[in-house]
Amino acid sequence: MKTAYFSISFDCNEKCVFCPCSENANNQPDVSLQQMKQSLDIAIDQKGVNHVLLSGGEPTLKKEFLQFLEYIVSKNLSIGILSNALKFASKKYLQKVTDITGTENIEITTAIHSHIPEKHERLTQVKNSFRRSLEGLHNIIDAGISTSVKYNMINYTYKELPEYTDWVYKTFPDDVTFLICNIDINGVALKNKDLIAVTFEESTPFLETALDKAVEYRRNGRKRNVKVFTTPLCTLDPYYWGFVNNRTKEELAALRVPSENPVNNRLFLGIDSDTGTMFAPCQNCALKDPCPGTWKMTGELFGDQIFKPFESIATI
Amino acid sequence: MQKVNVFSKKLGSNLTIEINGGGPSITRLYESSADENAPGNSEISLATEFSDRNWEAWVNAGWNNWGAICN
Repeated sequence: MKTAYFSISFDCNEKCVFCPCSENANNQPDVSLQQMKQSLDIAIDQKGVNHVLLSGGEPTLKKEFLQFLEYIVSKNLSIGILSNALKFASKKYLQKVTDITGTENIEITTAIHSHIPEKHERLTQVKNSFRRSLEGLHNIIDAGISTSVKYNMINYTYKELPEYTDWVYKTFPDDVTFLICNIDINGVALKNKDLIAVTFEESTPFLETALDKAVEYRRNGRKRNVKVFTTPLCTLDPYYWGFVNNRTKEELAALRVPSENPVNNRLFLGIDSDTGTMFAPCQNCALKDPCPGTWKMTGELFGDQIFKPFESIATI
Repeated sequence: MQKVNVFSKKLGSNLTIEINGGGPSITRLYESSADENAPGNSEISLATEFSDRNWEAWVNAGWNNWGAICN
């Protein structure tokens, strides 16, 4: 799959304290429908893109969101949407989307930040956002759309990951993928790093307990896909490495990327993600290739000593 | 093919990881009672290519691979 990542709007209906976008991201000039279409055409022509990942901000707030979906569908591309699902609490709105996309070639990922409503809303800073996002998610699932629920590992909530895992298994059918991610400490998140940033050393025991639960559920017949992202292999007991989403070699085409200093409406072709094994200790690690590494900013914040390279014992 | 020897505290034993090897998938460890039977120094395989999902039999099936790109 060759993916184009399009950050189509920096508008948002939440105010997440760990947003990787800067507070003034929305001061950037708006990207027009024409720019989005042209950028997609270029990404298809030059990079053979066949999948578009729509992000923001909250992409569903883009005025021309439905029109752009129509354009993507006309190009026979599959679609991923990173959304807080608030707008999908309206079945009528979801219907408008699926009338364009159908349900086969679209995937929606929604982060629920805690299974405790008050904590989720402390982080999103929007009242009732927990209930409304859940409504949206259930509407998406009921419509038959591939769905992922995402948990972000942050200082404020990481100790509750094992309970959150039980909540995911209780709340969502098994065909909903469960993603556990370390976050990009950039933009607003960087400003709030005391509330947000957590070291691997602190979080790993809770992650491992959560994965033990996933194994136990699996042994009891549950079939959920559970993926761990942006977590270096050296920070996790090897027993759990089967959960770690291995490193993609795929380059992204991207229309704008969230950062402290977003570049105006620029289309990037063939950029690397801001994650990987780019840190000095990784360079001699025998597991550099399969390891996903982590966010560049994580290494900058916590230092190279968090990485423990492995030595090769044999090359055949 | 490269091999790496690692110690798992969880299993209390060594594992030999083959990179792109033909050995059983690492996910074998999660099958029922697999950890009780894990032999010392058992060999398991990790793949490097994103498209080679042989070690992702159930945990990483699916297509949401960029879903974690933003917070």
